[in-house]
Amino acid sequence: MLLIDKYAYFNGLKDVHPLEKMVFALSLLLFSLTVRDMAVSLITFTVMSALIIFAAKIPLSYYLKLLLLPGFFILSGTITILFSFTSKFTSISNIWWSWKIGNWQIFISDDSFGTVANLITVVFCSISCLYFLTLTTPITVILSVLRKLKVPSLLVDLIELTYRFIFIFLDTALAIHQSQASRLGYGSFRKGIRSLGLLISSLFLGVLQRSEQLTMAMNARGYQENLSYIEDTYTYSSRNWLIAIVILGSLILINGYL
Amino acid sequence: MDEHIFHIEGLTHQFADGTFALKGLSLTIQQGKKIALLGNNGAGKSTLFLHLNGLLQPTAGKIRFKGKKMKYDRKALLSLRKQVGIVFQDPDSQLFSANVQQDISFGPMNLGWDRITVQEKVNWAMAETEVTELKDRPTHFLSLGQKKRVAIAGVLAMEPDVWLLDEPTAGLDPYFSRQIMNLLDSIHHPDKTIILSTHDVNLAYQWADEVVVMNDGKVIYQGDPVSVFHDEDVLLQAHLEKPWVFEMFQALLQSRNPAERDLFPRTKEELLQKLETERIY
Repeated sequence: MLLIDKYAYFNGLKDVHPLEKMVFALSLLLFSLTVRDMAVSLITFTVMSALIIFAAKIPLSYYLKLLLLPGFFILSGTITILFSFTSKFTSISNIWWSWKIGNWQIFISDDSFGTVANLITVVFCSISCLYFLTLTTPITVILSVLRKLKVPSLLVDLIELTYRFIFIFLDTALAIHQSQASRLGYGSFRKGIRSLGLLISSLFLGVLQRSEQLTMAMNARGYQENLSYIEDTYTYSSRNWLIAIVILGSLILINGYL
Repeated sequence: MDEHIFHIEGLTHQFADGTFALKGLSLTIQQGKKIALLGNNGAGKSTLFLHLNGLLQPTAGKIRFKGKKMKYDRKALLSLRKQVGIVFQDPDSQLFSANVQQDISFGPMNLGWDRITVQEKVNWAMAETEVTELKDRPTHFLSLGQKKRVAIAGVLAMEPDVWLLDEPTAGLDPYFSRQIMNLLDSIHHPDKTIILSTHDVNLAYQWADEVVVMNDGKVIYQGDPVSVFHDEDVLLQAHLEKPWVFEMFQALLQSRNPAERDLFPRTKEELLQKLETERIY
């Protein structure tokens, strides 16, 4: 069971209309990506994180763990931007830090420092917007909004089935792994490699078989061209719209003044 | 009523790898019956079910549904599946929507009913199978027993005339097994036909009007649920045991004259009553 998925179903904001959450998160995301301003990004990040922790009631430790994941990527990515190399005789203006070895010097310029700082804040701000959406809104609900927005049903159906299959895939893999481990399949490195190979090949066969069964089950219930269900009902709240507009509006104002 | 729902003649099914699942099977299913399909593993019970829903096409032989030869074009299949509902053995292969209510509404929506009717049927089906409180749960959060009940609700909401249930009680605890059987009793009606495959002879003996025993792709017995357990050859071939009520009664009768078949008790209650009234021991 994926914890991130579980929180999407059981969180403090689960009854809020999905369109409100989507419009809110995506408009903040778009705004901060267009202006690429550190202050705006920082404020957005703070607001989103506060909403995730206090409104949606996602445990802080879990949220930090989630941030750590893209954190590694951004760190490894920015190191290459941060440091520059040149020969030791080149003179560089607005240097922030430098170190000479042999004929070379490694340095961090004010410019690259600024770029990196900006990049990190923008990335974390975008991530917080997306986490807000994924942690408060289940995929199914997002899909039903997409259906209402007339996104091609083939695409939406595909996402839905993919989503369902992730869990079947995980369950099957876990079951195979347990049965292998209980029969000492991972006793040594060599055995482990062999077992893993077997696991992967049988997983693919198993999932193929599943998809065949699923097609049958869908046909048995009169599947025609697209998946149709009763949609869950949510009510719009003018208070939520107001909050969203106020937050976005003040960000635009802040950006204007700075 | 003895209108034939299904009339199967010489049905043969060969898999792509060359093995035969059904070998010239012939069977007639009458309307309004409660039929238990027994048979050892690999006898071809599930394959037969897939054929009855038009999910597989015969390699040889033919199936008549309500007197008409089954056709496999879109329109014919859709009309067949409106009338025949199938509950698969593994609910994971049946449930695909992300949440319970959506999954149950999938079939009824495909039938083209209006929204209000669909919602009514879905609510009713959820209440009957006791899954109403799970309605917003994603299907991958459910336990096996819950998944099984949701799978049944998904077919129930379509109100089919013919039910095919592939081992509906396997993996369920006694409470929910009994509840599923009660549900089947409440569905049962002179117009509805229920065919249920099971390994549970006690359940078949107690519940069914008619027992069909399959072995190696053929039907080796079709008839009332009492005589089948007198037929030692059939029992041996299909790896069937005798229901405990039956065996008990047989043992009690040993000291007396052979009993008339229709007098055999079918349930624990009937057995106890016989013990009291007839003083056979």
